[in-house]
Amino acid sequence: MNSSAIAAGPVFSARDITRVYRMGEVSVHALRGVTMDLYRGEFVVLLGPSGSGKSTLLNILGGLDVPTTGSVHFLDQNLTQSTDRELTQFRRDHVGFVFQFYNLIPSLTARENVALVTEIANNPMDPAEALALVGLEARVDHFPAQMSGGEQQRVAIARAVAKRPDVLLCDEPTGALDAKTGIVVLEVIERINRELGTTTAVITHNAMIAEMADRVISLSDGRVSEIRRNERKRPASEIVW
Amino acid sequence: MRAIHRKLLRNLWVMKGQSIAIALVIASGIAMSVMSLSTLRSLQATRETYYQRFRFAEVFASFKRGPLSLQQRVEDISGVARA
Ligand SMILES: Nc1ncnc2c1ncn2[C@@H]1O[C@H](COP(=O)(O)OP(=O)(O)OP(=O)(O)O)[C@@H](O)[C@H]1O
Ligand SMILES: [Mg+2]
Repeated sequence: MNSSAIAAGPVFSARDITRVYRMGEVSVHALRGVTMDLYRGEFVVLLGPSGSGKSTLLNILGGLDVPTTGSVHFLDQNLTQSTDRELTQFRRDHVGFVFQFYNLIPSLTARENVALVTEIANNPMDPAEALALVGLEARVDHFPAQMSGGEQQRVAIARAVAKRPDVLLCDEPTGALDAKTGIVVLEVIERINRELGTTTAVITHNAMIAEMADRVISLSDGRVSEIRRNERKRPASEIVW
Repeated sequence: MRAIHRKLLRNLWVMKGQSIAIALVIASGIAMSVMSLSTLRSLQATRETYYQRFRFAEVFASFKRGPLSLQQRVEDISGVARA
C-alpha cells in the first residue's frame, strides 16, 4: 500500500463499535469499543485469541451483522443506518467472503459454484478466468467432493473474487488446512490483493501469517490492543508454521 | 440455464423417489379438483338444457281479469315464451 491510498481516505471506517449478544439473563460483550480503518488496496491481518471478537468484527464490516452501538462507514455509505435490503445490495456489490469451511454447494461443479455469483454480479469475470486465477483451470468441471480441502478453499476464493469485489474478507481461510496447503491458499489471497488491488482482511490465530500483512490489527477481549505496520511484508511462500 | 436451476434439478434427481412421490400427490390433487369442477359444470349444463327443452319458465307472472287485447302486447315483449 502506498501513502496516496491513505490520503484518499479509508474504504471502511469503524468508530467505537460495540456488539452485545443478549441471551436471556446473560449478555456477552463481543466488542467493547473498536475503532479502526481499512484503506484501499491494503492487506490487513486481524489477530487475536479465540473469543476476542474477530469474527464479530469481520461480520459487521461485511454487512452480515450490525453493531449494537457505534458507526461503520463503507466509503459514503453508513452501514449502521442501512436497511436489510441495502445491506444485501452492499454485500452483493462490494464484498467477497471466504470462510473457514468453504461453504461450496456440493451438487455444483467448481465452475457452477462460481457462476452462481457471476450470474447476479454487475461486472463479473468469467468463472473459468476466476478459477484460473487460483490455479484451478484444470479442475473447473470437478465437484467439491472430488477436490482436496485446499482446492475447495481456492474455489471458494475464486467465487468470492469473481464479482471483482472492493473488499475480500476471510475468516480463518487456512483454519482447516495443513501448513503446506495453507500456504498455497495464502499465496492465492496475496496474489488477488496484489494483482486485482482488492482490499483484503484476513482473520487468523497464527502470528506467522501476520507477517504477510501491510498492517496487523490485534484484538483482545473485544478491544483493539495493537495496530502494527510491517516494514517488510513477508511473502506467503516464506512463511513457516 | 442458470447454475441455481441446475442445482435444483440435480437435488431433485438425488431424491428422485421423493420427488416422484411429491409430483404424484400434486398431480392427483389437481386431477381431483379438475374432475370435481367438470362434474359440477356438466350438472349445471344438464339442468340448463333440461329446463330449456321442457320449457320451464324462469319467471311466472299471473294476473286476474285483464282485457284480452293485452295478450298480444305481452307476447310481443322479448323473451316471453307464451301468454
Ligand atoms: N451469535 C452469538 N451469540 C452469542 N454470543 C456470541 C455469538 N457469536 C459470538 N458470540 C460471542 O462473542 C465473543 C466473540 O466471538 P467471535 O466469534 O467474534 O470470536 P473470534 O475472535 O472470532 O473467535 P475464534 O477465533 O474462536 O473464531 C465470544 O465470547 C462468543 O462466545
Ligand atoms: Mg472466529
